[in-house]
Amino acid sequence: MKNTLRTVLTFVLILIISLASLSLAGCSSSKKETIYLFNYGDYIDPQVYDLFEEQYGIKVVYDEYAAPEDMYAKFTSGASEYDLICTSDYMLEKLIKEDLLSEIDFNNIENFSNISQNQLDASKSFDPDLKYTVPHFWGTLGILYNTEKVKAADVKSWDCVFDGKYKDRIIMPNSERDSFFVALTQLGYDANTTNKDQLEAAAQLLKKQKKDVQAYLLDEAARVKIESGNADIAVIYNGEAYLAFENNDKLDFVIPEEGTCMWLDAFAIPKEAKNKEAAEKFLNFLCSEEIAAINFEYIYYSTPNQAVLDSLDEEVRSETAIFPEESVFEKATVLKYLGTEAEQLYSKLWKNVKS
Amino acid sequence: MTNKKNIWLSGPYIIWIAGFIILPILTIVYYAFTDATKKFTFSNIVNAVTDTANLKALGLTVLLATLATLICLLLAYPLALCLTKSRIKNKTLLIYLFILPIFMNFMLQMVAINVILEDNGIINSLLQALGLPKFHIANTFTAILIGMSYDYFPFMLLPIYNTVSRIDKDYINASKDLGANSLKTFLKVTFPLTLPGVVSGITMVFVPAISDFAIAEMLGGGKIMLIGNVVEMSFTKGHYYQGSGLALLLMVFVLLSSLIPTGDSDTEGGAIIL
Repeated sequence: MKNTLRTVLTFVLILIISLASLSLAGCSSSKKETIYLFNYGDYIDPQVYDLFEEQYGIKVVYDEYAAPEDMYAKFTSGASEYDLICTSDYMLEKLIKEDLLSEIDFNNIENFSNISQNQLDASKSFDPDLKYTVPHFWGTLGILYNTEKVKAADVKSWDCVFDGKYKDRIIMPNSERDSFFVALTQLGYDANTTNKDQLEAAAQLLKKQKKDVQAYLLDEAARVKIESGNADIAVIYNGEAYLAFENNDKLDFVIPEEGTCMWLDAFAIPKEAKNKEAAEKFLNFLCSEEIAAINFEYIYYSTPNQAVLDSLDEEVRSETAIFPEESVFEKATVLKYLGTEAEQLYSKLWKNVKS
Repeated sequence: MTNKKNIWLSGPYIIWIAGFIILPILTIVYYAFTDATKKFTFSNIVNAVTDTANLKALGLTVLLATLATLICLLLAYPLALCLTKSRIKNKTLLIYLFILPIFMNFMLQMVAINVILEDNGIINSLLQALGLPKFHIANTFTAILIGMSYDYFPFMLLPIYNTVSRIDKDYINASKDLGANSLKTFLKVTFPLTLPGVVSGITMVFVPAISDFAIAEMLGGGKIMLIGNVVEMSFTKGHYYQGSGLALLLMVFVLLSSLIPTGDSDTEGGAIIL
C-alpha cells in the first residue's frame, strides 16, 4: 500500500516537472515581432505577407477556416489568440454585439481613405458607426453554370436548383446561412427571418432538394467540380466564377432575378489582441493601392478599394461576375446576425437537412 | 525490487497517457454531463440518443462499417490463403505491395478515389469510350463504402495472413491422411486455426470505421452524415456540450464493438490489439 502511494506520488511529481519545463520552453521563444491572423482560406496573396515582413519587420502567422461558424467556435474557445480576424457581415455583427472586438484607431490607417464610400455605406449594416472593421472584399452569391449543359433561360431563377431538372448536377454551398438564403428566397421569405415556421419550411425545401444535389461544397472545391464538368450548376460566390472562366470558357455566372445575397468581408481586431499596433500597421498596408491590387489580382473578388477600382482596365471593370450591374443591388440582401436562439435553430435544421 | 524498476520504465508512457488520454477523456465526460451554465445534466446524453438525426447517422455508420468489414474480409481471406500457398520466395515484398496504400498520404488516397469515381472520372471515361452507359457513384453511400474498404483493407489482410502463414503444414497433411477432402480440411482445420486473425482483422477494421468522419466528408460530398461527422460538426460549430454527449455515446459503441469475442488469444499471431 505504502509502496503504491509512493509510486503514485513520484509520477505526479514527474508530471508536474515535465509540465513546468514545457511551459518554460514556451516562454523563451519570442524573437521577432509577430501578429496572428485568422482568415478564410486563400484570401490574401501569400506574397503580401513577405512584402509586409520585408518592409516592417513584422511576421504574419495565419490560420485559415472555411465557414464563419467554425471561425467563431475556434476564436471563442480561447485556444489561440489572434491579433486580427477577417470574417463576414453577420459574424462581424455578432462579434460587435458580444463586445469581442476592439475599436480601431483609424488615425493609424492613412490608406483607409482608399476605401470607397459605397462600401462604407454598405458596411453600416453590421458596423453602424464604422468603428470596428476594415473592408477586405465583397461580393454576391449566384449561379455558376456550364453553358453547354444548362439553358441560360433556366438559371434566371433560383427555381433551377429546386425543380429537379438538373438532378445530380447541382452543387450547393456547404454553409448553413448561404443554403438557407437560397431556400428562403425561393419561398419568398426574408433571408434574415427568425420566424420558426418559415425557417422550417426552408429546411424542408432543402431536405427535398437534397436528392438532386450532387454535393455540398464551398469556394474552390465547388468551382473545380464545375470547371472539370463533373457538375453543371453551382451556387457559389462571384469571385470563384471569374477564376473559373479562366480555366473553362464554357462557363457563365448569373445572379437569379429573385435577388442575391450580398456579402461583405472585413478585418477586425479582437479585444484580446496582444499586438494591436502591428495589426493596424498590417491593415494600413492592406489598404494601400499596391497591396490591394495584388490581392485583387490574386482572387478576383470585388474590391472595396476605390484607388484599385480607378486603375482597372475597362475590360475587368465591365466583368459583371466581379462588378455586378446596379440593378442587382436593388434586390440584394446582406445577412444579419439573428441572435443565439435563431442560430441554434439554424444549426439544428441544417443538421437535419444534411443527415 | 525488479518490479519497482519496471514501473520506472513505464514512467514516460504514464505521463503520456495522463496528458493525452486520461485528461481528454475526463474533459469529454465533464462536458457531456454539463450544460452551458455549468450545471449537471443528462440532457446531452438524452439528446444524443433521442435526436432522430443522430440515430439515423448512427444506423448508417453501423451499416457502413459492417459492410466495409465484410468486403475487406471477403477480399483479404482468399488473398491470404493464396499468398501462403504461392511459390514466390520473397513473400514479405509481396505483402508490402498489398499494403502499399498505407504509405500514401491519406488525403491523396481520397482525392484519387474521387477522381476515379467522379461523373467524368476515370471509370466513367473508360465506360464512355467503350460506348457503355455511365454511372453516378461519386458522393454517394457506395463511394464512401469503396473508400472505407480501400483504406482499411491492409488492416484486415495483415492479421489474417499472419495466422494463415503460421499454420503447420503437418495439420493439413494429417487431415488429408485421415481422409478429409479439401473443403473439409478447410472447414475443420484451416479456418478454426485462423479464427483469431479473422477476429482481430474484423476489430481493426470495424472499430476505426465506426468512428471515421474524414472519408465520409471527402467522398460523400457533405451529403451523408455519419456519427463521426455529427460529432465533428458539433465541435466545429462550437456546441461542445452536445458534441461531448455524442462523443461519449460513440465511445461506448467503439468499446462494445471491440469486445467482440477474440477467441483463443493465446494462439500465435492471434488478436494483435487486444
